[in-house]
Amino acid sequence: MADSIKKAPEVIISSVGLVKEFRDFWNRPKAKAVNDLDFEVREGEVIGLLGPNGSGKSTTVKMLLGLLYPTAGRLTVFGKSPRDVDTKRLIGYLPEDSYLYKYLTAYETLDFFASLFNLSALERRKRSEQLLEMVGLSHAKNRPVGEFSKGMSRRIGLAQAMINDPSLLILDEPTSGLDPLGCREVKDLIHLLKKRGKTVIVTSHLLSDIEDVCDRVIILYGGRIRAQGTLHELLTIEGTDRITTPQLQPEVMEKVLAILRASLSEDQFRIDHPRMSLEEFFLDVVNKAQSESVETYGARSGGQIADYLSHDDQAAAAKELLKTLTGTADRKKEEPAPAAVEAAPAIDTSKLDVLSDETLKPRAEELSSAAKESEVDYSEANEKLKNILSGSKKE
Amino acid sequence: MTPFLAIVKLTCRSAIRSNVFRFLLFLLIVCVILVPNTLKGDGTPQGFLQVMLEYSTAFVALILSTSVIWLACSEFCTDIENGQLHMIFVKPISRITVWFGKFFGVFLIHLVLLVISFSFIYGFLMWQYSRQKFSPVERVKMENEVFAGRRAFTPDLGDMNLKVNQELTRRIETAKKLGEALPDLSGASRRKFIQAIYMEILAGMGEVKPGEMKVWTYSGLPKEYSGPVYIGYRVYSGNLGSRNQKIGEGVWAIRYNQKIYDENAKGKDGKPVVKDVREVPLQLPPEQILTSAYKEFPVPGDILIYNGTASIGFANLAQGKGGESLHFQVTESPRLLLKETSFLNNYCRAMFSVAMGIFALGLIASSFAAFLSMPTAVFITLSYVVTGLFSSYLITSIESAGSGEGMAFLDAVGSWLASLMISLLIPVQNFFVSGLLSTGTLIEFSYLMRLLFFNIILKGLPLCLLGLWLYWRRETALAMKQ
Repeated sequence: MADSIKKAPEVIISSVGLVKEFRDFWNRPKAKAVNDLDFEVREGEVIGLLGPNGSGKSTTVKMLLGLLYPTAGRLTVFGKSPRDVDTKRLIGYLPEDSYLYKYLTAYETLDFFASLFNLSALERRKRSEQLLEMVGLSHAKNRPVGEFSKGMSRRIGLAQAMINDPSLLILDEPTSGLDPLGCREVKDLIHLLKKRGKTVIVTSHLLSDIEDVCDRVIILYGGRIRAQGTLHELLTIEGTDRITTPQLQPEVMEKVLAILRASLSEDQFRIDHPRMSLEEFFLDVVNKAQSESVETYGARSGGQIADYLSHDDQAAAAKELLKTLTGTADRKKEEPAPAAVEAAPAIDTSKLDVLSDETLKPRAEELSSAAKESEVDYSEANEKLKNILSGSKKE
Repeated sequence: MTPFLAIVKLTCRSAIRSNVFRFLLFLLIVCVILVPNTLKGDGTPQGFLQVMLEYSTAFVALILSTSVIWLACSEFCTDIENGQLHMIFVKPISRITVWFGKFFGVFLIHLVLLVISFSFIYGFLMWQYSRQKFSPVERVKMENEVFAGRRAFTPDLGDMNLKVNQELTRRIETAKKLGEALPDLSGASRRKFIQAIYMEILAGMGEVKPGEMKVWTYSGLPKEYSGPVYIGYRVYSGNLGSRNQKIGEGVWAIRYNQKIYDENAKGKDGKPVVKDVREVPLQLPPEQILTSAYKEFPVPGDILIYNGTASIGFANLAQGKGGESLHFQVTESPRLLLKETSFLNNYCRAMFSVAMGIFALGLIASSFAAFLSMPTAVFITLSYVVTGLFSSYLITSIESAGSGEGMAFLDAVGSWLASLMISLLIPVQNFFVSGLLSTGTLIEFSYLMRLLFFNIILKGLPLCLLGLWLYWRRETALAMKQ
């Protein structure tokens, strides 16, 4: 009922007839990287930009950031030109490569980018420390980023993108160069951002990443949109059903087969054992190693989500979430969990602890109508998190 | 302000990590330490100090100029090409702020180096001056000729246009009287002919024939000046600009206006009243003069200067067949040098001038680097500087060249182009005043302000605005190296 009267989320990005044509020195057309692109991104969406190399993903992202200018069409971000300086206060960007100053240490890098947001020295220090902790680089905070591995560079890149607690986060290949543990953390982070009503645009070649985190995808080819919609709309195979059960007794199995054979021919159904994904298995192994305190010099598993990234969550919503999670745990006892999910890696629940922190009071000025709308969305977010934690996540 | 300061800080840190900058910094240290310790000068104590002062400051200015061009181009271009600037441009900081932050960072680091270098040179100079065993006479000479800021006054040339026209008329009339062919006074030939007359008049004003005396007058001097006035000159033998070094013989004379006081009257302030003034020529002892070499000698200011004017004369004592004319370049010498300010003050003015030069170079380089690639920006900046330098020389040489059949058109085109260039470009060489500093010549405040206004504001600002506009407009993602 509440959803039915809820206002549609605000349009964050609007692209109408967007065209980008590259020209040579003599102004002759060289390539049309983006051709007549129409799309909208609404507040709180996690949207995936997909496409093969040269399909126009990066060009579109660069236009969104004001690094390239459209040849034709209209592109607005938060209702303004992408070149508008103030708009950029609301945007976080993780580029595909780490364009960081190699001589700055991890801490200096974050401090520098925080300075560009005109934050006070105290706030800069606080956020930098928290972000380093969050991306698991606290131990390397005084090392120049030039010495970092690709994965560590991605982590520090991700941290700088979060320094302003952005409303819109643009992540270009966010899991590129990260180990599966890092990939999972990034995905968890995206989920948490979504839960907080943030808008996220993800471009990735790893379709599983997109599938895991995005609500909606836009598939580009040759600079044009070839498909767009929610994952459910695009991926559901009509006319097919799947039933997952605990391992059945042979006699029960025979009964099921008999029923199936009565209605279907042999080639129309199949029965097999569900497998955990390699990612899930890997995470399980690493989690065990971490629990045994095995030393590593690389990036460590991220810690708690930075306080400032979660402090505008309404405390009530946080409590609600915790209650929901508790309720989920109860139900978990009652309902037998599917086998595939039992093997899923444990999510670092410490990231959620912060949401129950009573000291984190919402900022009055941030309780905008948009935030109120996103509050309603928390139920959906909570549901999703509940599913993750209870292990009912879709494969 | 925090974002601006962050960019400034980042630029300074980046500069310190640049290998080229480190090399230039090494050269700077070598120059500041080695140059004063290895130079010998011309054998005289003040020559030693003058050479040390001139070369050390000139080397510092040269190295910092090179460095500022390189670093400005590097800071702007490599950041864009490597994509690092994109990380900044997607943050809430305007490109204008980034441009100024980078420019200011580059300038600031060079300003600091300039101040440190100049302070070291000054300290070293003073240390050398105090530790060397100079005689009291030498010390006085050095304090007046090197450790001073002296204003230079050159002879009054009068109305040169009038003189040229009168001479032109005289020559035409003479040719008519004698029935000779009139000179070609059409187009470029007229300009050349008039130029030749101008140069002849100037040469005539500076030529002292054997057995003759030439008198020069000076105006614009202080009404009252009791300190020593130095008469500085360089004399040439045979013809003007000759590099032949010979020994000439001459005698200097100065006009002394003797005041005759009224014994029976006293002024309102109790001072005696001047009843009359009698002009008395005072002759200095004859002396042997080494031609083509710069020389100075002092005369008391209260004797030489009267009512803001002065008059000096020089007699060429060469006689007979072998006697040659002695020539002064009257646009420069003999000149009167009056101590106007302390050496430290003049030294600070020189440092300010060099700082403005570095600022101008940084501005030029940053403006070009804002929209060009690194090698192109460096090339264009150097071309700019060299064009400004040669345009000045081109104008001077074309104006001073009186002959060259068939070159008139090219001269005209060259002169026009050079004038155009000078009106558009900043002649950066004008900011570097080591020569003036080492000869104790006052670096006029008005000169510095002219440099600031005409070069940095009038010529530098439009270039800066062009660079800023293009930087603001630029699709930076296109410049990124893939």
